Amino acid sequence: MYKHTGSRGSGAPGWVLQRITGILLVVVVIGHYFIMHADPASGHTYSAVLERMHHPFWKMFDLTFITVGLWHGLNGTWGIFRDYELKPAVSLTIYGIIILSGIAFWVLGVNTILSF
Amino acid sequence: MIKHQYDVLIVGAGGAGLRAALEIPEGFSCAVLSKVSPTRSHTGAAQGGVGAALGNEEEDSWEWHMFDTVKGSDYLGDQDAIEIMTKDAIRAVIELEHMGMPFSRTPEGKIAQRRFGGHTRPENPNDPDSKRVAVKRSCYSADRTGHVMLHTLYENCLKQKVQFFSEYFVTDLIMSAGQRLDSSRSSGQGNVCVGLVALDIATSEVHVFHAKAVMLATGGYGRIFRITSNAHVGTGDGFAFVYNNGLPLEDMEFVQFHPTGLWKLGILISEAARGEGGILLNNKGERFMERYAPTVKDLAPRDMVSRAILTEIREGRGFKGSDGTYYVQLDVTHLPKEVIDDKLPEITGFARTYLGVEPTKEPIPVQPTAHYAMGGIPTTVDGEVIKDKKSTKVPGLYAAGEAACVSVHGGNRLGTNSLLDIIVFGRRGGKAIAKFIKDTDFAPLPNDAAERTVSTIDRIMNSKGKEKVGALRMELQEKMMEKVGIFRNEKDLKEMTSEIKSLRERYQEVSIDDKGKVFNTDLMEAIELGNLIDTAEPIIYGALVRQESRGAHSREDFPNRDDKNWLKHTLIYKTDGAPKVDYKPVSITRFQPKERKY
Amino acid sequence: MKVTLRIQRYNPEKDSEPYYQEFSLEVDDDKERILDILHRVKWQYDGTLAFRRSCAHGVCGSDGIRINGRNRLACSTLLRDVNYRKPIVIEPLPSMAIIKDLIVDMSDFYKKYEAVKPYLTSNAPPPENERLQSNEDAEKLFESAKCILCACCTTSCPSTWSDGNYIGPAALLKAYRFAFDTRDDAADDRLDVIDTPDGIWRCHTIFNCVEACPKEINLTWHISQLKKRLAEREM
Repeated sequence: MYKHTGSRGSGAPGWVLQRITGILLVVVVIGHYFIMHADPASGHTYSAVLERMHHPFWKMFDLTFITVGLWHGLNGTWGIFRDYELKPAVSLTIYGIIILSGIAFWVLGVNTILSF
Repeated sequence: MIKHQYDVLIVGAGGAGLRAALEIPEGFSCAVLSKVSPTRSHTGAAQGGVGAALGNEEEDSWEWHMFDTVKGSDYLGDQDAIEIMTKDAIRAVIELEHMGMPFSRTPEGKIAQRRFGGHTRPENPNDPDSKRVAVKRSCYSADRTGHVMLHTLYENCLKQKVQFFSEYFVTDLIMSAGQRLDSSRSSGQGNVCVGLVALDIATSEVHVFHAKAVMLATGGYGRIFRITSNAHVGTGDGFAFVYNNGLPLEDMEFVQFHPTGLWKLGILISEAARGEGGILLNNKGERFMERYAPTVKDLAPRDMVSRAILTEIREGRGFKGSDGTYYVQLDVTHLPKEVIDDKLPEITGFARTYLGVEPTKEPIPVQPTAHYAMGGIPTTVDGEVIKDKKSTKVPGLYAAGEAACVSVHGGNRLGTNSLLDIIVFGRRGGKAIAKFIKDTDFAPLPNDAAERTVSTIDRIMNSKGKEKVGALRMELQEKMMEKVGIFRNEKDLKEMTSEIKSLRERYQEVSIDDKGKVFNTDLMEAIELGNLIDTAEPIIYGALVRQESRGAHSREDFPNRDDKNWLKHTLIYKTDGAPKVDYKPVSITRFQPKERKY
Repeated sequence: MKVTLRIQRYNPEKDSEPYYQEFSLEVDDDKERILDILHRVKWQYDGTLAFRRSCAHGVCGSDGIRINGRNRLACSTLLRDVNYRKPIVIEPLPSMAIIKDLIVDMSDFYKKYEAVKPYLTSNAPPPENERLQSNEDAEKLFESAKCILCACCTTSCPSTWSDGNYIGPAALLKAYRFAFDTRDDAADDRLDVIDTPDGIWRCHTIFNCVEACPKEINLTWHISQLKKRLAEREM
């Protein structure tokens, strides 16, 4: 009796991951704020960024940020759409846009990080 | 008009009806009709528990339970039926547990039990004549036993895929001369039940249901009285169907009034409040029960306390409420706050929610409230409706629950025995039906089956009369409360016989505002008012003929019990004039009548 | 004192859409129940007013309606529980089809309730006596077993408003009632039913259901227990 667009199997992993990524984001976003915005010198000078980005820890930090942030944000967005009764075609289109844009931004982000 | 055919029809989706439905075997069609959605039935309002001598908390036996029930009934209960009920109680309660009913539990994980008014055991188990002390016999689920029982039974009906016609209002039985296998029993007109007529409330369409067997599990008639603990749907429909089809009603004069209903609303404040130390006060601040029952005081039996409250009010020591009725006070303010919060949460919650009274700070206004119908449609111990003192059966017609009078409650019902009654006799009725439909064919349906219903509806819908349902019902309720309530006497009852005649005439002039077809609750209430008036008549006549005081029936002009002349059941038949009265013997097997004192 | 009820009316035989009608009447004090006032409107002023009711003390669940924008039982709400100095707005429960006046079509609500298989299923044949269960285990069910199926919670839930297929808090509570019963063997079946896109994951812990429940059941807590149970099952 229930609609099934975009559903495969249980919703439990998605629910758990949304919470885990949420917790990770709290940590990563605070870290991001301190290095990028709290001290303009470390965030806005090319040399400082360049130096930091050569460090593997910061690469991992930013890779985590982009992966977790994208997944959390897009899964949440999809969740909002799923709260409405949508026609299957509309639902599928939105789902497609979310997946494709997610992949595109992730590839772009990862490329950028790894190019340092 | 829409026609249906089912092997079995059950009217009412409370405990008795649902329990019966579970007995109808696969391969036979069964439908349950209810004027409200099944879980709205009034079984759900029962709080205290269901009585069974499980002996989980302390030693107990079904014979002690039987004795208490017989004594509680003031010896009017049929002892063969009471024996069946109290013996079967143990199996019946365990079966509910197997069905999934959530019970409170003992430390060993068994069904928990607690004490309840009137349930006792001999102090010395080896000496049945030793002093009786209270016993833990009431199996409970917090203070919502009836609610979880109703839900459990309904859930099991869903599991068995029982068919429901929810919000179908049954208006009449279809009786016919009928040709049956057992033709010896069906001589004469209208002796066999072949179906029923119902109104689909959502559309006002009249449906004719043809059946081999019909069970009435329609509950009580509390709404005949101004102050009642019963639901608005407790309008005595089943009693009226039977009565209007020339069949008798038994012991209708026995109406249980619970002493402590919330003032104006009638909502029950259980005796647990007094059990924990609450006391009753009159307008002089006196603990008046000390005068009526010097030893047990506020914990005297229900009928006694109700009579005491009314006496105080009559002698000018009641409080006058804004609605013109009088009340006394139930005071629990002296109890520790923990007792009120932990042991009486539901009760004190009711006072807070419904009267805005804070029971820890101020007394609760209470007055006796019409609570339970001991009498009803006479049946055998297998739910088969009978039509005379020789217990001649009416083929195809069954009754169970509060609507029926087996009789296990006699003159006064003990607490926890109503939930027991519905599961024991609901099941037995269902089993009897299951057997009956196997070797019975459908008897032909009369052509004019729905005529009475259709003409009643036409009359009410087209009437331009001056009488209004609400006003007429209020008049009936107030008069019944005043004259056929806790105290009765010949003068009042005689007055009521002419009152009821005039109310019935005025009922013919009832008109309604709603002329539509969709959910016409105005029409429904008008038909229910007719049922109330029809049910009131046998109550009045039963009370008038019974010249004694027994159990809940208290005659000021005959204050004593009279076993020589009145140890018998009354049967009241409708006629064109004054109803016909007949009597049926009481079954006495194990316990000879003794004076009832506690 | 005088109070005014502003009642949403709709008769499908006459009206194309609902409208509001005001009734002013004298009341004794602020302790009168909304249900009694509705009855007086029906019995004294307008017999066509339609609403459901039965027990009149909060155990049958018939008279869930919307009073001043909150889902409540008419019988358990006194005048003093609402602002009666302004007209009291009485409407049917939101998000359900209106049949007439305050009566809504409950069939979808019951269908969702039935979807969670609301009955005990045990694989083992029952013992001769009762099954044993500790009182702690029994009491874990009591709050959920209090439910009177009035639909106040489900119709107060924004997830229900936006997605009519969402199974809703009442049915989830019923799923809890059986999935957490130590005597039950069909928890997996019930979890399968609620572990769907229109199932439990549409609950965003908004807490409207908790606020609406006239029996003071903490629905969101019960739903969270089910979510945890599902997470444990899947991971």
